[in-house]
Amino acid sequence: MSSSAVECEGLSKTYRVGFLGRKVQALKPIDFVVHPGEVFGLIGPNGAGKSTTIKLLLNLVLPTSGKARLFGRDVNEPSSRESLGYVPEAPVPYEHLSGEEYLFLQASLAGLGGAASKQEVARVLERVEMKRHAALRIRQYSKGMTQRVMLAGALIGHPKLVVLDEPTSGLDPLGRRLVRDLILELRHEGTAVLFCTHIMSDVEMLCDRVALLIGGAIHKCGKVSELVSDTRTHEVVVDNATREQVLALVQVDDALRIEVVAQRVMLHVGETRLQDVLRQLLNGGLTVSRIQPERIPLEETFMAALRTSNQHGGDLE
Amino acid sequence: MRQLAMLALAGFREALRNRVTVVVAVFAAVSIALTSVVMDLTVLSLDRVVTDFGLGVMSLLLISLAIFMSVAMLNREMERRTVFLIVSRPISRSSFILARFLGIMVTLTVLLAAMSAVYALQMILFDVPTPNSVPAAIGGIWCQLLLVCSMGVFFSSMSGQLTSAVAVVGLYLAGQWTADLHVIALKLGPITGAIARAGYYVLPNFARMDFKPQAAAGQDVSGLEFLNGLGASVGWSLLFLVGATLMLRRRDFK
Repeated sequence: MSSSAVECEGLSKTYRVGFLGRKVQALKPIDFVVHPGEVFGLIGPNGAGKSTTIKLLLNLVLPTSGKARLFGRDVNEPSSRESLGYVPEAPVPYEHLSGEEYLFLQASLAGLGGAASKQEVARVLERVEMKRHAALRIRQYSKGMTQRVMLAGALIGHPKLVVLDEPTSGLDPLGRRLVRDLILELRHEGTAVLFCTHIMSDVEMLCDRVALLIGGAIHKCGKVSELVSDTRTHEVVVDNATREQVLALVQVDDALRIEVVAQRVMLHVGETRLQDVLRQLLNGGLTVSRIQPERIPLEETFMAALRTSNQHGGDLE
Repeated sequence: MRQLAMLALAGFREALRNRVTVVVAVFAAVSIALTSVVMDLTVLSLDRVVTDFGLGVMSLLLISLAIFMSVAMLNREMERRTVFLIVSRPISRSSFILARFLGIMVTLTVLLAAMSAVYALQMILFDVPTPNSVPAAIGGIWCQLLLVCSMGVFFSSMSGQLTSAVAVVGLYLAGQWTADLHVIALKLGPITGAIARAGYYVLPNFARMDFKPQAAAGQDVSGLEFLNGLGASVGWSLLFLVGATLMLRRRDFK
């Protein structure tokens, strides 16, 4: 029995598109491992190969080269998915079913039946706070409610690996909070979670490790703390001042940019000059109304990686 | 096994909730209304009109529905991404396609039974005698549905809805005249004759499962004749389903 929940070795995918079967390499050979009890994030721009990676792991698309294993079993074997829960991106489940009926279907597909199935469906409905709406047809649900039922389906049978493709997209703050809590709870229970998202704050908050995919290849992979950049920029807002007044006090260089919006002057200041600039502005009699970090560190890493790689994504997606 | 049954049931439930049962009402209305109209126009006997017309309408409606449901099934699952939610569970692609096929067949069988009940009522209403070929003709329609459905699933496992629909309709129509190909082959040259003969052996022969002419003429259908049709239908269907499974094994669910 393998000690890894997910293992990829040289996994790649080339699609053939169009009438002439033009080749598009959606994923270059990649290697990564997800351990039990670990939250692993896949991040990258659209078309970077995140969804393709997930589909390869679930055997929804077939690899061009390489191997993928779940709990040591090749993903070609249906048994590799015995302890797996999955929520696809923007799912449209069987809308003619009620939430409860959908979950019973998922329970039977997970191999549960009878009383065990009933008990499990009740548990997951309770967990995603959907018990009250369980009898309604899914076509009557809002996007958030649908996503909750999808999450409930993924939790059926206490899976050891949960794969979530953009799980918080389109959710209100309450829904996003629920997803975040669920992921943390799963990690606490020893479940491996693999998820991809564009929301960097979620990644920073939840992930133990992250793989940054760009142009179908892993650009960086490691702990979040290893990936974040050291440099930060801050947005400093000075009210009721002119550009000239500000320029008389501070010097513009690589670590400082100025722009004027309405009656406000906004300064984008690097971490190294922040204290000096604040002192100069306040000593010069100007009013600083707001200081905030401009980008969270992982986002900066993400943007910097995009700039250096000069790629945004593949031709697909 | 439970997985297969639950998936098939979900397919049946979907058809019911999408109001596919309306087809039965359409059948009843069209059948009764047109029988009355045709009776005024035809020189044929009442028995023959009622028998032939009811079976014809039933066959036409259900075959059309079978084509529509079978060619749309897989593509719709892929478009709506519902296939992701099923295949990501410990279920093989062949089980998935078999379950969905069974779901469609359950739906069509229930509809055929309901239509047959309406048809029987009509026969009683018009006081038309029922030869044994009428149940055989209804059984024949079921055999044709089985074959059409498996053909639809096979073609949709490798191409889009429109292409699949054209292929199934083409094969269905060609299959109606397969027997004629054998006769035509005798009158053609060596090469064209060989092609026509090859067509006779390669194409599924739908006429073997069609007992409507016998029912309309009040002739009996022997058990052997019926089993012959049933065997051909099951054999061809298995072939198409195995083909669909092999095709789907290599297909990407993008």
